Amino acid sequence: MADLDHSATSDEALVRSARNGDMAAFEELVARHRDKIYARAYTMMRNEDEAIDLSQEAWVKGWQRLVQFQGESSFTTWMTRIVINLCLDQLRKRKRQRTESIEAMDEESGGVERQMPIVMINPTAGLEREDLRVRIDEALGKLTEAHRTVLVLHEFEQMEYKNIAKMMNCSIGTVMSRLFYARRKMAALLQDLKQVD
Amino acid sequence: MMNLASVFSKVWLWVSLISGIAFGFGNTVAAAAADAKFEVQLVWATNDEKPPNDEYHPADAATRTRLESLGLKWKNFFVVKKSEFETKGGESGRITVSEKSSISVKLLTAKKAEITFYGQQGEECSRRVQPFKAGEVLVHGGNVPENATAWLITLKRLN
Amino acid sequence: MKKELQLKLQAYLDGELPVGECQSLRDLLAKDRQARELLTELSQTRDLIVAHEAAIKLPETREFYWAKIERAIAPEPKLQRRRAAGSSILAWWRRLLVSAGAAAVVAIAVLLSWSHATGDADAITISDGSASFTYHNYATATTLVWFDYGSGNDFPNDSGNTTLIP
Repeated sequence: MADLDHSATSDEALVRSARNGDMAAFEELVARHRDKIYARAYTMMRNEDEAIDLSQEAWVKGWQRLVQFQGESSFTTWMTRIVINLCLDQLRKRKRQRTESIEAMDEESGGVERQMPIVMINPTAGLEREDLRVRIDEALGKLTEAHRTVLVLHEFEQMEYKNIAKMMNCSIGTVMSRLFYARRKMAALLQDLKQVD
Repeated sequence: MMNLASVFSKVWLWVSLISGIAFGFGNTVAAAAADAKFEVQLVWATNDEKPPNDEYHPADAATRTRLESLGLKWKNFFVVKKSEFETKGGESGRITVSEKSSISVKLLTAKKAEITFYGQQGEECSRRVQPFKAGEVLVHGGNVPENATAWLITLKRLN
Repeated sequence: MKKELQLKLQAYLDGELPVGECQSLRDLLAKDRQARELLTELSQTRDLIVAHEAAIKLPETREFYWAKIERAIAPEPKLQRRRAAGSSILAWWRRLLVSAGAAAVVAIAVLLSWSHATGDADAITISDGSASFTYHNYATATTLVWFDYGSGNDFPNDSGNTTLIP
């Protein structure tokens, strides 16, 4: 537990202290951002226990690599990248265990979405904001890991195509295809929120 | 090389001698306070409101308070099994908690115990030496990934 | 509509289409109703997702979550000392035995008698599973030894069974 009250200290100052071995400062950083890091892991893995494990592993790696953090992005962005990489590693491990995978996904499955009739969105149709969040989260859970990962990295992390391609170890063209199919699949899953044109 | 061996043997003679005296003193203190009674509970932690069958009983208030103080994510605790056992004369006492686990306790002093937790094949999963006064509780637990629940084994020293 | 055009529309939406291609795509959009509708759908879907990210909260308390991290990052002075000792040579042993032997004997004796006589020493974990960690709540005098099975049941001491519940 923290010896000093770090609650009013900035992230930057906490990072500096943690870099010098101050575990209390690091614990404050964990307390501040644990929800965000866990949420990212959960969005990608869709499994509570796995997301907890991976987010904790990310914090351990963050501590070990603090010297590498130069402040070119915010601390949370830096930590989020670490947890995303761990999630991608975990998804690749799954690839070796079963056919459906992040690398060798069935691109053809996107064909259905590609041919789907175009629909117009009416997001206010009968759903409160929180209900809408739940519906969208459920729909995300129905995507393949590859589609969901690209969508999460692009929509939630605002990453560019080239950076997603680098992170996922695939071509920019593959990223574009997956993102397109993912969006169309989401549109299909959220049909009842939309008015067919 | 002969000199080194000579020095080495002399030092270890002294180590053995003084260690023997020290052990003797320590064991005398331990033996003086080596009887105790313990309560063991096998508890199922879950977010389900109701137990799966009649063999599961809601944990009593004291147990519940203790388990809640550990910050576990589960809201409900159901006791599957509850029993008591004793240790006497500095000997260790062992109790089988379920088909897959057992616990042994050995009092080292009046306030300190060695607690060992065994798995299904009798393998040692954890061995601790810690202060264990009357009223203290040691909980061994683990999650069950398949159904997002957990098992807990509470060991409480009663006297 | 060809796949290439679909992906171009998306790149245009995401601001990733090369500047040189934007004008020709705008010209196409002006006369192609289906392309306009697809662009609208992609845009609305994107905005809907971005604006409604689920507010997911960690389902564990601060202390419980931190305990496992702390266990992994805490310094291990004993281990470091052992590593340092590993670089020693015979001469180091000779010096140690001759000059510090007596002091070591006294220290061992004091430690042994003290550890047997006191009841309030800090807990010493002799061997917990590598996938476990410990948390102590002083207010309720309760210690938790937690075996983390993760979601893949990889606890080393587990013999194929995930739970001790009968």
